[in-house]
Amino acid sequence: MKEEKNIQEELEDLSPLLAKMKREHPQTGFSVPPAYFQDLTNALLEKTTPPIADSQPSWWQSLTAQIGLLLQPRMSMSLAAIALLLVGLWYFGADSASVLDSVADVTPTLEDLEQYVTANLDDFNEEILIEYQTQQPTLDVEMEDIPDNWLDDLETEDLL
Amino acid sequence: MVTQHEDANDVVQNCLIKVYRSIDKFKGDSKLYTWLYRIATNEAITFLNKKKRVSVASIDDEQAATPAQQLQADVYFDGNEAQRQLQLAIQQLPEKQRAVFNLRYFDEMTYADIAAITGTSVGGLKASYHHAVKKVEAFILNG
Repeated sequence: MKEEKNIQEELEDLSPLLAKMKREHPQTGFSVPPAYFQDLTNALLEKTTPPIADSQPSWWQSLTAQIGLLLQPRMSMSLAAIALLLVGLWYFGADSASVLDSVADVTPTLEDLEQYVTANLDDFNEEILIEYQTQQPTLDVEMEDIPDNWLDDLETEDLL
Repeated sequence: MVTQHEDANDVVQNCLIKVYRSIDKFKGDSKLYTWLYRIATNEAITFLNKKKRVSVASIDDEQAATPAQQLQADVYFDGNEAQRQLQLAIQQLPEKQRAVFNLRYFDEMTYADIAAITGTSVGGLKASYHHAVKKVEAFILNG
């Protein structure tokens, strides 16, 4: 009651016109249709209750439903990505095996190397070759370990 | 908040369905009726905003009825001319201000309860209500 009085006094202070209208006509002017709330219950139950399936779907309906599910954008994109990955693995896997085979074919033999050096001896830098030869590890052998008959057969040129 | 029976019916049904689905989320930290009012107010404002977007899309429709015509044609409005003018004046208010005015003027709610419903401070509500009253009075006086 006190709050209502405060509300009315507040309205009197703000607008005597509206305060008078509220005293004379406190309602909004709208009315509720007859039997509205009785019908409202049924209307709400229809909206909130899920429909019951009439019968079991046939095999054709279930098949089309599954195909439709596969054609969903997310599912089809996933399948496409997986297919691309498998194709890529198969292609590049096969390709690498053939590369290894081709590399093995290209590897030169010792005979190939000797032939190459002989054919292109003039292209080699003599200084580098001499330096390489002089840097070869020498036999760390004491003279006493060499058999005497070997020394007899040893020529001076062999020591150069 | 809405002035047509079909709109009110939609809002009421949406509100009750939302209450039915959200009742588990009611923690009891506010009064039940303020919680219900909050859902109803938000549903009404959402409905009005959606209707406004639809009406903007069809702005060239010259056959669209004015609020006065709609109120006149509504069979469930049986108020007198003064009440009709008042309802037309209230429809000019922005949605949130309209809610504050209705809750204070017709439902005679305290500012504390209205604050719990709208999420606005008591001071802001007082200012909003005062402005709403002045706007409604000016509309009625100017015809």
